[in-house]
Amino acid sequence: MEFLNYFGEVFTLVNILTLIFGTIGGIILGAAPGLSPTMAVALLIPFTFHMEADQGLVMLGAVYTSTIAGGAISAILLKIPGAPANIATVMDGYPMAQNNRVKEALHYCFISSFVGGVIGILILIFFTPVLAKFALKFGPSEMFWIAILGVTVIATFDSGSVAKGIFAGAIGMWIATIGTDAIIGVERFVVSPVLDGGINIIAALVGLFAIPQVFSLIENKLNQSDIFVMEKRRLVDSIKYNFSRIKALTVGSITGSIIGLIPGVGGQIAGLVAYDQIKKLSPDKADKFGKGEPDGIIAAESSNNAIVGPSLVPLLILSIPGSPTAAVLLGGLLIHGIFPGPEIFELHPKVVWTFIDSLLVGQFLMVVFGLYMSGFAKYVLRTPAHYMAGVIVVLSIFGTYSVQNSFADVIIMLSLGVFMFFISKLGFSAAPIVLGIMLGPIAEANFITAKLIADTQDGILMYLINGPINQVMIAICFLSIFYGLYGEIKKKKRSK
Amino acid sequence: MIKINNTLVVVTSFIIACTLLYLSFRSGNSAAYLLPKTYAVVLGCLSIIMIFFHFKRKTFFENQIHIKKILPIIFFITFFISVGEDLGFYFSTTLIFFFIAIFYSPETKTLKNIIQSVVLCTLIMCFIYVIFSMMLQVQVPGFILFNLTN
Repeated sequence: MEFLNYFGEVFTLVNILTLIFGTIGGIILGAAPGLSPTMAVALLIPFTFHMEADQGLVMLGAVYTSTIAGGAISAILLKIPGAPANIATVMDGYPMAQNNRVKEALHYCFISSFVGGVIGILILIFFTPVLAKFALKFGPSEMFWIAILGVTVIATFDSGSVAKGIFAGAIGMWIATIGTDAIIGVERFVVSPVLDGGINIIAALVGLFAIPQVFSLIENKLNQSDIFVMEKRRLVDSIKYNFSRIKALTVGSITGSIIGLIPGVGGQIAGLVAYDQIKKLSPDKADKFGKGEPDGIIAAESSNNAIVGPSLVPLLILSIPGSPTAAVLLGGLLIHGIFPGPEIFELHPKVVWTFIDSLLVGQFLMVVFGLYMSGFAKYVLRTPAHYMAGVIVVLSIFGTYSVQNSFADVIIMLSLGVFMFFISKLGFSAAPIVLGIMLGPIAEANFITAKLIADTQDGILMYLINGPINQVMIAICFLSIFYGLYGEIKKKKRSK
Repeated sequence: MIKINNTLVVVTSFIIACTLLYLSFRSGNSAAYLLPKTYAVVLGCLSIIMIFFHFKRKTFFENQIHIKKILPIIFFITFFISVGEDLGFYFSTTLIFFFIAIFYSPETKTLKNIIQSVVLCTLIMCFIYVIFSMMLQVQVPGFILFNLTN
């Protein structure tokens, strides 16, 4: 019950204001179509650099949670999911809006997100310390494999193709080696003075996630003309109905929590699986799904918010993010000198528990502000794409520069952004590259330590493959690759 | 508009892999290059696998880039990289923001719309100034506008 000791930290003036600001900002960013939670968190990371570690993480956590919930607004009003996690919400949310039940649908979104979110965070609170005790047995070889596993898992699940995913992950790990080698002190691949200091994590994060978004906003101009009028609906009626749908809430929350624990699987999968499950478990309503059935929204939204907490379990203990947004959050931890690992609760208890507790408090704020702000959603949705693109460019430039007062970082950020846009068009995903850049140094440092130890024993290869934990992790790496390939083959057969 | 198919994907992957292999292996035998070389070899193998499957299984992939739409943005980025530091961040980013707002506006470019964009750009840049220069105390290259920050 250590988490109770740090609840007071969340309610300090600075942290609670940060939490409120992050929640409101997150709902607005989430509602804006085309701005994903991953991009929102990436764009905010430079700001958190100037804050205390706990305050910065409180901000990022609030934005992470509320962007997913806020994404439902554009899913319902525009049929455009604000975030990939809201894809399943569109299926019944938009038909409900067409049936003049906009407000009702928005109420279900925020209430269900709250229920799912709270359950997910309780899993994070009770499951993480148990896993941490187990992970304390990890040495350099295990930590090396953890880094490789993190990249492999995200690479195989986040991309449409396993080969492309691993290719992107390997590019990221290679990029991470640019600059001066931390152990031997050799300058590597410094082909321009811009690369003297290596690749800054924040420059990479902002560039890889935010700049391609600018291109997408400009390429696919969004039609924001048809926005529905809000009907009159009492909140109490929505709350009563929402909590009477126990089956949909349970299916959504459990599905989201389980999927969140599996590294690399995003909220969109959780939402779609929960939607599919509730459809199968409600044969009497089978023909109503897709035409405005509230259970569809309740299951999808409770599920996509339930993944937030569990997706942070492998992140905090093993440095393996449970979702692409959690991968970006890893950057938020690293810039404050907090290296996720089994000892994180012993080395940084205040920061970590304040962060986790703030996620719980953030759920309450999210439901309150979400329900209140959903009435004004139409104004956010009418923000023209070209202004949004301009704001993202300017914020990316200033945010990146502010971290080290380095123009080289801005050049790296913009160059990586343009590079990412083109390779994303070729089907490569940003998440494995980012994770490669972040986990690359961890893999390298542990590999070199392992090599120094192994040189006095049986050699590096034997050292890396010996031991049950190493073997289990190697097996999981291969398993995730084969599972990804199996899914790919199945998908191709189905499309034929 | 550039149409992308799987041939372009595998060729680009192969070029990236070859470039990284070249950079990794031309750099000598220091232990510092052990991992970069390993990653580059993995990339090389993957690109060969992708080429193999491209010819063997005729993998289908289709996408497109609206090059006319994105060229101005690439120009703005190049402009900023070239002269952004000399012109000052506030001046150059205001210019970029204004041109993005005007160039990509779906509405007809009337004087009213242009004035509206100028006002909006100025307001947003003032907001950026308040956040970065006043609240976060970030000293950005200032040159013409907001020279006080230098």
